[in-house]
Amino acid sequence: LARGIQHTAVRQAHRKHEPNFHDKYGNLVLLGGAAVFTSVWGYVVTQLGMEWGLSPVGKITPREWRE
Amino acid sequence: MLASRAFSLVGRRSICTSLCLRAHGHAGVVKAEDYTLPAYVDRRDVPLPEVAFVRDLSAQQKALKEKEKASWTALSIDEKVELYRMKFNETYAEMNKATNEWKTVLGGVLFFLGLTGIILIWQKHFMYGPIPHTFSEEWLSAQTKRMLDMRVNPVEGISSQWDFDKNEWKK
Repeated sequence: LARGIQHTAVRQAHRKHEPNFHDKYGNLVLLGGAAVFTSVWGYVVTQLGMEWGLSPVGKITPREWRE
Repeated sequence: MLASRAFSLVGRRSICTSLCLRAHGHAGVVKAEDYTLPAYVDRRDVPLPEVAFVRDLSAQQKALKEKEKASWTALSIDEKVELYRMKFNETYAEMNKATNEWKTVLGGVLFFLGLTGIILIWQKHFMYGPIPHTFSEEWLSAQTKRMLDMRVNPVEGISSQWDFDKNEWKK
C-alpha cells in the first residue's frame, strides 16, 4: 500500500526541465553542419579540378594509339 | 628495499601526506573527504543509492522527516513529493528520458568533416602541381584502347566490360 502511494506521488512529481544546449541549438547545429558539409564537399568533388582517377568504363571512348 | 632503507633513515613519523598535515591542526582526526564517503548516483541499475540525495536538510525538511516517522496517511501529496525529492534526484522517467544530444554530435561531426574538405581545397590551390598529361582525354582514350587490344584483365576487369564484337562498352 505504501508503495502504491509513493507511485502516485511520483507520477505527479515531474519538474519542468530547463532546456539544455541540445534542446535550444541542436537543430541549428545539425542543419548548419550538414550545410557546411554538402557545400564544401560538393565543391571539392565537382568544381575544384581534382583528378579522381575514375574508371574509363562507360566514360572513355577508345581511340587508335598506333602511330 | 631501497624504500624501506629510506624509511628507516628518515623516520616513519616525518613522512606525512597532505591530509595528515591538515589533521595536525585538528586534534589528530582527519575530516573525511567527500570522495571517500558513499555517494548518491542516478542510475537505472541502482534503484536505492547508498545515501539520500539531499545531505544537509533545512529546518523545514528536518520537520518533515520527523512527520514521516508518524503515520504516512497524515502526509499530504506535496509532502510526499518533497520527501521523494529529498531522497532522489531524478525519477526513473527523468533518468531515462531521451535527449537531443545526437543532433549536436552529428552536426558537429559533419561540420568538422566539412573543414577537412577545406583542407583539400587549400592543398589543391597551394600545394598540388598541374595534373600529369597522361590524364588528358586524348591520352586516356589511347591508353584505354591499348589496354583493350592487349586484353588486360579479361576475366573480371576492364576487358570483360568491353564488347569486342559491337565495339562498345557492355551495357
